[in-house]
Amino acid sequence: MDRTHLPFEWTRREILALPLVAAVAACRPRFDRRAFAVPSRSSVGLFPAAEYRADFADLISRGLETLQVNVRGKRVLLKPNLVEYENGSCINTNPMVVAGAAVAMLRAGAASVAVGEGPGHRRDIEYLLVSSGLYDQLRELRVPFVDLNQDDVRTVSLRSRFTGLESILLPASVLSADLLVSVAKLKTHHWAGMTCGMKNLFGIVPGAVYGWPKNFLHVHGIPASIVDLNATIRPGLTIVDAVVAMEGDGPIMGRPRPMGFIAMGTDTVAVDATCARVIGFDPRRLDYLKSAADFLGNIDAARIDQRGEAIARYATRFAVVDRLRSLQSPTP
Amino acid sequence: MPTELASHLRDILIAGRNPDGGWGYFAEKSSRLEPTCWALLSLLEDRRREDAPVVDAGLRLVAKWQLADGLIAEPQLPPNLTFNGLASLVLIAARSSAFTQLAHEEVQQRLLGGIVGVRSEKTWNWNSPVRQDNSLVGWPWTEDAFGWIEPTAWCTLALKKHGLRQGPPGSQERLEQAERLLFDRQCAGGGWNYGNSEVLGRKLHAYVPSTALVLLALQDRRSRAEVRQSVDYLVRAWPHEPAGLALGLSLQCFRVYALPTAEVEAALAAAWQKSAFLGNHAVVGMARFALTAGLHGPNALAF
Repeated sequence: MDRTHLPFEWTRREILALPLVAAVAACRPRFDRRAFAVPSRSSVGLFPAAEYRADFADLISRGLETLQVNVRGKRVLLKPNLVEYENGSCINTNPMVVAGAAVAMLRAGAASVAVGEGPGHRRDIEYLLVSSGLYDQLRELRVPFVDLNQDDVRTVSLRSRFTGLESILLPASVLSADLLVSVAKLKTHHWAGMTCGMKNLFGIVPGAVYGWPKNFLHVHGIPASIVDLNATIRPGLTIVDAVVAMEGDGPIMGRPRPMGFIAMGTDTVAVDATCARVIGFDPRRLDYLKSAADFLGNIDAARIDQRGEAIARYATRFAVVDRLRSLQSPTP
Repeated sequence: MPTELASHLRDILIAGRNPDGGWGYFAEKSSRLEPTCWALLSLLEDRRREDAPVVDAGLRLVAKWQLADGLIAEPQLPPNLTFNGLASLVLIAARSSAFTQLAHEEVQQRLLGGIVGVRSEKTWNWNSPVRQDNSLVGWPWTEDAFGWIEPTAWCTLALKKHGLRQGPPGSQERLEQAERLLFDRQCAGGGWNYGNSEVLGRKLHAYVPSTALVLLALQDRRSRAEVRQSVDYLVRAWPHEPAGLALGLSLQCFRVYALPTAEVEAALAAAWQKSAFLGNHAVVGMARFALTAGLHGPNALAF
């Protein structure tokens, strides 16, 4: 047996979850309803930012105030979406938004702020950080960066079992943060439909354990993996960079689509549902949002209080690849 | 400058070693296989007598991490085939250098057996038009996943360096399949990215690090048009990824292919000045190895 040095009588095959484990898990409920509480109402703010020269520290500070988010004394980990670098592209959360979020957190009394990411495509995080400009931004602010692909890891029991997995290894820096903030980018995603606050959590799965791209998650289903990750590691706040979003063949090869806003909310599911509506998707047709709505957050518009600007100001219909057309709401 | 940088990087590795003899990706982090292997490869290259106890301790740790089926994994982590391929190259380098007293012949043989035993049987099943031959078997990053470029290239390189005649049963067939997979996944215009060369009808572009790595694995096929095309791609593209990982692997590749290295060395030094490779020991070890590979004896990545 492969148990040379594994404690707890775990084999590595158990860690990677053989189909037998999945089959057993499939017979059990996917989540314990008593362990989760969907808020009766959720607030999502849409705040105008026409361009990346905006004062994001001020804008996000006002968002924290509007949404009554208390970060005082907390160790905050900002998790941007840093995937790939192409000059002039809109693939990543813009460094100005990440820097603005860091300053806003510090102004609001956070005990510490760090930025952490584990890109799923590029192994070369140094290249991504430097070429995207985020490296210089963080150095200027003296905000540390944590490579989540290569951080120390701990085994975590998953709090839902849509993937059939029992546990997963996650970075210690994510687990030790008091507040994880998903600083996402709004993009179409040719497999998942959309990438926003929830899908952004793929970047906390350590590549040095599971590889690049993180096809361990693909094997177990992208929507299922999104839900299990978000059930287990709950971002306390989501900030979405939709100043320039991406439509078409996202998340990498799509076209920039200027949208001119930042979305914020403490219910990641509600933030994603709102962003889905903005770009013309029906949230109930996105598998991961439909599953999440059962136990993690609100996707029903009637349960989401809109702060800042109304959805109607930004509502549009993103161009999508053929396979995503079924996700779109009927044309009004 | 390269000599000064190499010396400085050595100091960082020596200072960053953990009490268990290994290296974490970053200072004060747990020892992990990849940074430990790059540090060892780098120190083995030097053959400095005072480093022998450091190398021995690192090799002991790697051997301690070996599982019953031969693969190597840190406690509680699943084996990672990319880093197992790299570990095999370290053990081969240790055996051939006579620098260390630890031959680890048995560890090496069992490791290769473990590598040959892992097959990437899973395929991309999204019913999507991905232009690739999914029947080809390579190596996945972790067991029970798809076959991808980096683990396939590292395991190919390890088996070739070890030598087919001494390889475990099945080596020949695995190598043939792996090479076919690598050629199948080549991007239009040359080079490789992490896996697919085309998705949903869109051609994906190559990356510098994965191209350099595959070229190392295919160094015995350099007369093939695909390899020549990919060398041309790397020569054109390396300046566009000015970071430790891309430059370190490019430099290693340039050495093996006997291409001029001065400009890549200078770029590596500039990248260090800019970001200090983010303090990542794996990149520090890789870069240092790249700066010194083959200068004191046979290149550990050449065959």
